[in-house]
Amino acid sequence: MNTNKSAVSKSTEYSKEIPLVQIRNLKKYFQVGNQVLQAVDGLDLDIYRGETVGLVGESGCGKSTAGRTILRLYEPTEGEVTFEGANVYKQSTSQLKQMRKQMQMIFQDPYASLNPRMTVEHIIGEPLDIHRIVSGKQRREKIVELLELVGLNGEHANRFAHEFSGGQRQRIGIARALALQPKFIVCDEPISALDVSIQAQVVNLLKDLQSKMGLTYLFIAHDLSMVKYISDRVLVMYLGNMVELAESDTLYREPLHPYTQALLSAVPIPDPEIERNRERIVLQGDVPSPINPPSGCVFRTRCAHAKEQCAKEKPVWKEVKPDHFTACHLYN
Amino acid sequence: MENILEVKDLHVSFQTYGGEVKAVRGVNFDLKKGEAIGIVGESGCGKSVTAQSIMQLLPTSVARYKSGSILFEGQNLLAKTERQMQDIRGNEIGMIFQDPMTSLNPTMKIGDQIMEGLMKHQKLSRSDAHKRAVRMMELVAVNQPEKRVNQYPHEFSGGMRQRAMIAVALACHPKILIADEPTTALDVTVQAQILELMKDLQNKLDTSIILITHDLGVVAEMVNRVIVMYAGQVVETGTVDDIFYHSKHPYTKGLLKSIPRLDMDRSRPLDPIFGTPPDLFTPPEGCPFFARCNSAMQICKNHNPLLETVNGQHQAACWMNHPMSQAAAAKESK
Repeated sequence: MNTNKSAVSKSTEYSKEIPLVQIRNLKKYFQVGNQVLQAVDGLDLDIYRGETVGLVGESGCGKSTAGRTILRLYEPTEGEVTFEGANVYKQSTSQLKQMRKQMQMIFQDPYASLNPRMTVEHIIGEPLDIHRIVSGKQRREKIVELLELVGLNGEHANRFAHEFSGGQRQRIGIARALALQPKFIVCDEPISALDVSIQAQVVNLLKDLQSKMGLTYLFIAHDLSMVKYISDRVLVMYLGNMVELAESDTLYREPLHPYTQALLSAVPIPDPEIERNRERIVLQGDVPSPINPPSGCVFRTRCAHAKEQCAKEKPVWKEVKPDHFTACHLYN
Repeated sequence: MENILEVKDLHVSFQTYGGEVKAVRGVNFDLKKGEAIGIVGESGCGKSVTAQSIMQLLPTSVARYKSGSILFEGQNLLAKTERQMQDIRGNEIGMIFQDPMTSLNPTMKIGDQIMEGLMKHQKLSRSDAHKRAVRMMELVAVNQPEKRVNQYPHEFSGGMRQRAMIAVALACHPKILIADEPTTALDVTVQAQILELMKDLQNKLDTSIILITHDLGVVAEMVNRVIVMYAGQVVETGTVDDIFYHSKHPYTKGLLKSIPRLDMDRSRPLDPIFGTPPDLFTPPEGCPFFARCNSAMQICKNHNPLLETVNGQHQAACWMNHPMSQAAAAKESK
């Protein structure tokens, strides 16, 4: 156990002292007709400088909403987020604009997130223009530098998005996010739309940029193997709620929450020998609607360990083992 | 075991404004009775075109079958008329698609969509077909089937829709089920349910399955034999063990190396395949993987390697597996 621990601390180079981003009791509800959809229902998370936090969960669990609300692309229903000590939701429009330079986003769909009527130079140059970073010849130089940073080249600057493959487009999206030299990037499923052989290229690029520029990532994805690979810590969400948070290796080695266990066991492993001998936990049914989530523990309707207590009380978020948090009545 | 389906030297092209896209360029494979095979490859490698050629679902205005044949129980499907194909589709060969949102008819009740094939192919009466539809819904583990058959697709969740689609595809007990990325649009926990269901149904109904996917994990779980496609050609084929443990083609090896695994050490860097697949307007003369291959040789540039048998069912199309290159390598190592 001790040897494992030292291996973990060695691989995580981020500083534990001052969190870059602090998220406290973040909630985001949407009004749907006359009902309320609880997309994110209480998120507490510290993200430290230089680390990658993976955020995983199935569609509709609120992971993308969480990412967007943290950047204040959505106004929160409740809670607060501080970035370098400043409350993101208390900034005036002009202060927020300054803050946005530090926090950027990479989107899922490289086809939809680039304007088809703009050249690459225009796309990457837009943040530079808005924040009046550089102009004239320097602007062009900066754009070429950014293109080279993401593995493209200056010749690509005059082309349009449709002239590129999916992987190249995602590189353009990354170059745009990097243009303002941000500290924190929310990557919202940046590789889900890409082919397997291209995914590895983009992930290697993101890791490489992180070590070069000291970036901090919130990496949102549903591909658990990729999340494990890229993240230092992983947070699992279910139906807007936090389920489990731990160091990446720990979470995958000994998942505590029944949902995390089921989620990990559902991932097919590209190894026939392992697949033949695997006992799988198959969850029954579907994710309930976030409009009328189950009482108590939201996972209880699909949980094999559900007790009476689970319907009555919401499990509290607690540190069950050092740096390993979960919300489940099994551990109370 | 007898072959239920044989695809021989299939060439399919599309006529576009930009010219002729050679999507499938000489594909050969066969499917045995009761067997599950997987076709893997990246987008644009021709795996879906191959599947749709079997069903003759490609738009006739642009798709051209340049040569080859698809023999289903000895009969060439490419020579069938549209009329004859209608008796085969859904009856002898069923298909499920990637996106259960768009491949069910939103204006028809789920039950009616299951009954449609039963009434047309098996000439069942409406009431008999309705009973069968309810039984099919039970078979694919949909709760309250009597109630659910009278609902519309929008009342179903993604996983439930995929179950309904499987019920539609299997209603007439087809001999072959073609599943084109059946779980790509689904979450992992729902994917696990659907894969479990497909395996279970294969055992119960003894259907042969062609599973098309880009997910090597799904392949490892589901099939006996794998066909790896690249740029419209089969580059490697063999049992799952051949492909996963003894792969002989640099592309297959590259694919396996580029995916992170849950049980893998995080400190190891991913090993991506550099570059992108070739343009199929003007496919390269030599090996299609030449430009991205770490082991490329002079011969690869100008001459496309043929599938060579490695052993048993295992075949790979790479010059390094050519008997003469093996001999040369052996000589060199001495």
